[in-house]
Amino acid sequence: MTTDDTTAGDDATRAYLDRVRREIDDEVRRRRAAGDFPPSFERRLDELFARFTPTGTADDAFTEALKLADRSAYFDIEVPIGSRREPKGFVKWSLWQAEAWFVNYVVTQLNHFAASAMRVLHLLDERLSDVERDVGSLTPPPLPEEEVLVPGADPAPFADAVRAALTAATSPAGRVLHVECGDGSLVASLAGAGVDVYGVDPGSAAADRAALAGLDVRRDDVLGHLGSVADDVLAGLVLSACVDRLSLAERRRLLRLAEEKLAPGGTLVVIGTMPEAWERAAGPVAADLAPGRPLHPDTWVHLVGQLGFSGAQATVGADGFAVLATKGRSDVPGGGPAGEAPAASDHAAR
Amino acid sequence: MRPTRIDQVVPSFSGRDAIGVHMTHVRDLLRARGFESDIWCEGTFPDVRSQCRLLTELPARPRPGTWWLYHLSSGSPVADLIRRRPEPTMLDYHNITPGELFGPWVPWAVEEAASGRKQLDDMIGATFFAFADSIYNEAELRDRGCTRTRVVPPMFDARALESGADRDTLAARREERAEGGADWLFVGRVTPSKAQHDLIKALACYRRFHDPRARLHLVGSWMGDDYPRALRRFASGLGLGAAVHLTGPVPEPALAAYYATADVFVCASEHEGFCVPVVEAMHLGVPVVALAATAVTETAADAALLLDDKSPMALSTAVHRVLSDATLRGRLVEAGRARAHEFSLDRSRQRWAAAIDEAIGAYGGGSS
Repeated sequence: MTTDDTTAGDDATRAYLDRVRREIDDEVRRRRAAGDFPPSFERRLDELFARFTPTGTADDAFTEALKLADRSAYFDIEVPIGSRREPKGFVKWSLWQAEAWFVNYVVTQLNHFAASAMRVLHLLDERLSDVERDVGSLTPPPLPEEEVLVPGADPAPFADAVRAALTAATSPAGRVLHVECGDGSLVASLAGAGVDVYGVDPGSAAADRAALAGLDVRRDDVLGHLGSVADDVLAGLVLSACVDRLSLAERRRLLRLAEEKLAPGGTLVVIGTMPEAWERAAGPVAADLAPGRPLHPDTWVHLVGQLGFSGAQATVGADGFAVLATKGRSDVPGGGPAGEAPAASDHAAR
Repeated sequence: MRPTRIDQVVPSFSGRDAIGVHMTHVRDLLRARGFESDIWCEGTFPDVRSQCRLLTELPARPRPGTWWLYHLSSGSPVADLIRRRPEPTMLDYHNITPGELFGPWVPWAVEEAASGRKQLDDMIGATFFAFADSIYNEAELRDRGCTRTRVVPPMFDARALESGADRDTLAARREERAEGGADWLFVGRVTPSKAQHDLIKALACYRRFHDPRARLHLVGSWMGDDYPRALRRFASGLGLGAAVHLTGPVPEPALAAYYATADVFVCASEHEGFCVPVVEAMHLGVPVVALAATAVTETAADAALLLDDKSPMALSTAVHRVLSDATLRGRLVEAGRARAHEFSLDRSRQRWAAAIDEAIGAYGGGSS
């Protein structure tokens, strides 16, 4: 360790400033004790600023806000009428006496209204708490840490079909993204065929090796990365591995992002694991407790068709499958008009 | 092994903020010493786009002979990107504001701070040498297991603020000053960790007990909207709407005008990794009153009136003492100028040159 070599003043200055600091502390203490610096003034400053402070983002933010609302929901009729100067105090008292009956009438109604409104809010809080409790009980318990995630389907058996679709003359301009690309084998294969491709993987050491081998592979969160890509720019998007384990809501978000980011005519490829093969590999605990499990190829065909992709078609291999579809265009092989009922799976290849 | 190129990386490059200015000086120094050097970033601003390269242009293949200098002050995926690269990496740690100081005001900053600290640990394992702006920053690096460190204050040139003050700002400020009342100044991002709300409280005390016409100028960009909005409402609620000025970010000539017309620089910040504005104020002869917290204590050293008590009464009493005691004011100005000289650009360049040589010498001796 080496440290800063700047010099920091001389002893005389230090001693002088220490003395000044002590004098300031003494003055504050003395004037507080004498009532020159009333503590109530500082307290009022804190209270006023607290009014503008947002409630916390923590779990108890609602409770916190409710308490704050409870405290503010009472209107005090006793206005301060004290004053250091006698005549001023008398004027305030006289005004108060003259208007007390009217103010009291209005404030009483306001207090009734505020109390009723707060009662409604508390009831809502109770009901929401019940709902939260019920929803919480539906969440499956976490997977044991020692449960190893099942690797995604090997893309190799589908590489030819993917390459053919992405190098077709009808393919739009733009880059191809392989999401959760693992060791980058498909990225390498596509790059070798002249496709402008890059891969993203959330954390596998294999992806690091791919990057070191010169492939354009980055470590990034799947949904986060896709969300940061501009709309309508990708010529192709290959989704693999994560499609087997994401929750249903995350899968829907993934497909919506795919639809947004692909250029018109762009190719969507979903490479998934066959549910039966996944169950065999996962074992009973992971299979029962996993937040998401692989979908059948027909289900993917159905889902992408619902999103307006055309020509959705599944190719099924030994343990995995690939679903290929085109964004909103019917002039590609196997394509149909957007929204048309999806084509059936090609089980012959199984 | 001596590198042929030392490139700097930062998630977002702005030529105006302290890190951006520092990086520009480091780049110039590296080039002057015969290294190739560029600044890489994930995002930047149009006015400084030509001074940096975007990481999207960075080739995936290793770049032999290149070293990285990563500037860490918050969490960013860029840290992971650089950490995975095969080139040797050095770290310049500017400190990360603890998330709890942002509280509910800037929720995303709370998360960013948490991820930043995690990345700091990862980065320490991946770098062979780390620079720190201050002893305070270095202490955190060492607590986290970093062994090869050197304290080198950031590079900036306070002389740039000596002349060329914006005429319009200067005229407006002088017109205001003609009405009487002291001018308090604080320069720094408007964020709860820098506690501008405590300055408003102190100003309220000061106006009530000492000088009813005093003003507070809060110069700096905003971090989120909630906090600056609350500051405005708070000031209005105290009847200080016209006395508290939130300027937002200002160009250097306007900043020079604010320094030139300030009676005192007041800092209630609860967290600083160095605090360049304190030195700027000292260089320009503005006495400094500051909360004795984090790195401010060592940056200001014995050239500022440093307080342990951050109550509005204590802060306002201290400011009053500085503005009413000519001897104290004179000694603070004199000591401030001497302290600022310690951080002059020439001296900083010498320190950084030596630090880089030390890092080069250290390479090969294991990670930090």
